[in-house]
Amino acid sequence: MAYNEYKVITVVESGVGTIFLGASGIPTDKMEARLNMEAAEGWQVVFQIVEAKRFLLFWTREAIIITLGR
Amino acid sequence: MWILKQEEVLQRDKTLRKRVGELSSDKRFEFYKRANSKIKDPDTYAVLNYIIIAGLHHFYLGKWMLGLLNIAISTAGIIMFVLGEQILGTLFVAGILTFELHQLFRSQIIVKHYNNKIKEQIYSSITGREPY
Repeated sequence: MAYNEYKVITVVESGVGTIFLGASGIPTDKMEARLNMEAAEGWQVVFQIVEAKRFLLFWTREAIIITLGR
Repeated sequence: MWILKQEEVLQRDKTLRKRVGELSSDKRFEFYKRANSKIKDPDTYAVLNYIIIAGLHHFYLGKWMLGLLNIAISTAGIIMFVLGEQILGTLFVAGILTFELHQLFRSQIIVKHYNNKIKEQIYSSITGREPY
């Protein structure tokens, strides 16, 4: 499917869990709310990748980079 | 605290989703925009609950009184223990541990219930009517 416009959003895992335990889960409720918000404006998920991002110098946390199109 | 029933919480979530789905695109966008900034993450709640005697998870959900009560009872228990009232001190700390471990095991449903309440408030403020 061809899209006229793209938008990239990022959802990162919880910083508190990363600092205290070294890892955490992706906040699915927040991700869901964000995707629903974008869907209300006509965006659709095109693809997504998981990236390890540096966090506060010492930690690394995962982030989902989602590409949307409409 | 009362015992939350998982089926009830999930049912409220399901009904709320249905109501939000019936809104116009503009209102749905507004709803999820506001919800996105206010909803809480159960994982963060659980992590904060690991420091049981500090009650940080209560503050995370805005339950200041419960958090302060948690700190007060924990501190009182530790002070009693140090001052030689071992039995009373142990009872205080054991009481906090029991209550907070229960909260920890039910963190998913507790935060889901909290998020439902937040979403219901947002829904009411946007539409001017109750979701149920």
